[in-house]
Amino acid sequence: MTISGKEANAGSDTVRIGLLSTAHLHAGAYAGQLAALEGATLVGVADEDDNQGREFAADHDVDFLDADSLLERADGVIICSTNVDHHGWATRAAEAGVDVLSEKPLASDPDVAREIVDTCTEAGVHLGVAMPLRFSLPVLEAKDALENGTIGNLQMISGTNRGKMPGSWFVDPEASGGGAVMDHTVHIVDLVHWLTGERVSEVYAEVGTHFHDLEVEDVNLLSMTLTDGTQFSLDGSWSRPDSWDFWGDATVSLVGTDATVDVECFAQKTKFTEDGGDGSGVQSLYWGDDPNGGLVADFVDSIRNDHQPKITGSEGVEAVAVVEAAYESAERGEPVDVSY
Amino acid sequence: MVNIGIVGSGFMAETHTNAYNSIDGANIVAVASPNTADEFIEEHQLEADSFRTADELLEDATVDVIDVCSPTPTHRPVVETAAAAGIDVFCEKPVAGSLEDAQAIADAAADADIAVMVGHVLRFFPQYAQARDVVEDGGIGNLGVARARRLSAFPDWGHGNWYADRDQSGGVLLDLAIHDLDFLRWVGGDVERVFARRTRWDEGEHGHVTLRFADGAVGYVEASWGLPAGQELTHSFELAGDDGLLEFDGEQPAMTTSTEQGTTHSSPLSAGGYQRQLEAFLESIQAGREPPVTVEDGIETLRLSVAANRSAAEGRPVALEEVKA
Repeated sequence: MTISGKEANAGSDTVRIGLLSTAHLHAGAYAGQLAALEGATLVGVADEDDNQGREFAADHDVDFLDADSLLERADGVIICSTNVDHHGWATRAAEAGVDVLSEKPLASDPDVAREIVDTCTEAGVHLGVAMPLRFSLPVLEAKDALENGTIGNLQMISGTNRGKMPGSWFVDPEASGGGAVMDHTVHIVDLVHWLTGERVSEVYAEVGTHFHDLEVEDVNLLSMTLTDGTQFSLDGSWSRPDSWDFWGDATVSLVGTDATVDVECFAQKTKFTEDGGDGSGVQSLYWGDDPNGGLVADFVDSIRNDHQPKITGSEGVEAVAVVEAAYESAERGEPVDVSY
Repeated sequence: MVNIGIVGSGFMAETHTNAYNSIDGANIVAVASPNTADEFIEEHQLEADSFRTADELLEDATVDVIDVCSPTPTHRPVVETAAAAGIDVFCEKPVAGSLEDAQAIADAAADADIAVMVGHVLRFFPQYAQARDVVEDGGIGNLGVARARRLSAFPDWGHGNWYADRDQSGGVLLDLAIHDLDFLRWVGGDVERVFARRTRWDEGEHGHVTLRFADGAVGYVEASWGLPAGQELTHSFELAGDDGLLEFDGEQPAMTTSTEQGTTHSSPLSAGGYQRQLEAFLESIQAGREPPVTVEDGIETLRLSVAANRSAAEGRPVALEEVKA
């Protein structure tokens, strides 16, 4: 029996993290968070695409390794591959006894997502899913308002998670499993599951491709109910123009019998106008706390202290189940019950 | 000079009275309301005669137009009476509470050859009108997603709390969401189907509607009567196209005054939406033109609200072709 990297490092203070694939844009953000986090280090990058991996490794001054070497060296890995490759990477990590934090959605299909959970459970490795909004400070204040009774009885949640069309593999259904519904449903759905303790019970979806010439949908408008009957709407369309001043948004408005609470996760911005000759114009610079910091710190802590990451694999499966129901609703033209 | 008879003495009658006061040549000569016409006339210092009913007003007063600001179920009988007297009408939204009543209004107006304008006032709010112009000019390319939200405290200002009686008011999807449903229809064109949900509780109601336009674009309207009492109305909209994006994120104060007692804001305009709307009505009457928002417009928009309420009640998407007068 080989000694896994995780066991070999027992007792060491520094938690060693590897990146499995850099296909997802967030890989750079996680590398930045790890560099800033005390007690953790990014020990290397593996990638299904050699050029992509080498370039990333050079940019972030880390080693580019083959996957087996990285898995030997790491206590935990963050999977930043395409959606459909999460399963393969997670399986390899589980076999090597290395804890996993997977980009969202956990998989493009709930059955595959469940398989990832089972594989990690059987291998005895922790599995977390990257839902950074749970670490957003404005969201945490809203959770307090829900729990301390300020809101009264919750009646409606109105959410948005719009973005620019991300291009690349995100718009290739073979790699992503779908468009805006796949990409921009799970963040807010997971947040609402966590905030309320309820689950999405029924989904009605209006989807379409209107902003770009794509094989996948870029309009994602969902009308849902939670298990306690609360209304829940979500606009997760890729409806921001390429030249918009920010990457997108993440908002939830909670309407209760006693109060309304509106959360804009990325409201803390400064307007920046560049007087370039290329007309690049106005940008907004976010200066609030980066929720990715909490996400990465939680994953590192879960490895150090051997506990579940905050967003569990099972919760990741539940978010994907809502995505599946949304696609089914769009196909059938009627509301669909989510099956968990 | 145009002589106006106002039917109703509630919040909308007050809003219209304030608007007429800023319009040259608009002269309120009569007010009809079952119990509070005198009080209303005194409060607003009008030189107007008071009546208990629209029938009495039309019989005894000399008016050029009737402005219907009374509760929704009264719209049909009042307009029918005005039509019988050959008097042009401005009618608050919704044109009626049911498509049957709305069609009766249209028939009465056509038979008597009177003009009727319906108060879809957002078309006269500068930010909404400007956004529609930008879309019409191709500024955002083809529309993909249109969104509008309108959140209010429960309208407990109605006489006898009539808004709370859903048989009279139709609830938040019929009374309040209809503003934005009209705006989206004005911008996005014909609607193929809607899906809606609504929740009602003591002194509260909240609903949302998804729309699928005939050209495939998607819309979203959210309306609330659930803000805490005393909170001011908030409204916002967004029109996203394949070549641009328009965002109106609520009223930005143009003037802010801060004192020890607190902070007040204002967003002054030489003429607000209500004034522009009523000016457009009076101009169309005087010029003998069709009013800018017709009974037919009011009916088409009412179909959206009726479809939304049906969808919410039945838990299924409702095609507009199912919803006819």
